[in-house]
Amino acid sequence: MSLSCEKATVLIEKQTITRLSLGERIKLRMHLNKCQDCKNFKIDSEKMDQMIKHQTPSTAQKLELSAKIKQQIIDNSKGE
Amino acid sequence: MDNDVISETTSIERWVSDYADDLYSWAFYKTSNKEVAEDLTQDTFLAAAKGASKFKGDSNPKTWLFSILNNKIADYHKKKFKKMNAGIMEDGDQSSFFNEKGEWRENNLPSIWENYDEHLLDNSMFNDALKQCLHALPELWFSATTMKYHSQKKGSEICQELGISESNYWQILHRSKLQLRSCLNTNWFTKENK
Repeated sequence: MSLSCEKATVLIEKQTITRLSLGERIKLRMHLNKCQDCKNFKIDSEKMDQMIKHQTPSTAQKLELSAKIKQQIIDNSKGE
Repeated sequence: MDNDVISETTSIERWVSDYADDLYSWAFYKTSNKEVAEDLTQDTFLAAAKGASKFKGDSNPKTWLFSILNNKIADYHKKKFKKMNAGIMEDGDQSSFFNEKGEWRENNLPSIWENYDEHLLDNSMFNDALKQCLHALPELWFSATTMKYHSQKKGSEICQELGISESNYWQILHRSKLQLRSCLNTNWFTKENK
């Protein structure tokens, strides 16, 4: 029983979150050995993980909270 | 009023002037909704005001406020996800990526992003493109993806919180990845002059 590319790429994603079973690991390895497309997808998928993890408050666009809401926050927190 | 209360109040005021814009910007980045971002920022300060006595001067107030906000962002996505869960597997089908046998379609074969390097992560134009592609995902997928990267929790715990099976969760993340890849391809990697 060999994996389709669709199933293989689901396992690639699953592997980033949890440990695959032995059977899944073997099937995925066999698939990746013969499928360059899925191998490419895996490399890009890891890059996307890096990209998303790299998003931090310092990379976010700077916005200003209105003075009205800031005052509201200060007033409300005095009630606490 | 005793001294403690007075000093807590003044520190909230200082925190608002020092950090409110940063917190708000991040909340907006993570939700794409100004009203939601305003609410989350307010809630963060409210929680901070309540817990100010627990805040120890030895940690950075900014770090502390951001950790409160990040929990609130995760809760927001969790709630949103649960609300939309009904239509979970309906939107977005895979047929543009795979044929009925589960093989890649010729016009969607993955190729390696040759012009990718680590510096790209600090390129603001690229980050804008990434942000747009993340927000172009169906909301439910965006929420699931956010939960994956913004929580220390295990996959199984996230599934429990979201009330979905693990296999549904992989499916959503898988689809999000395919779509995100295709969007980045169009909007960045295959564009000239980058």
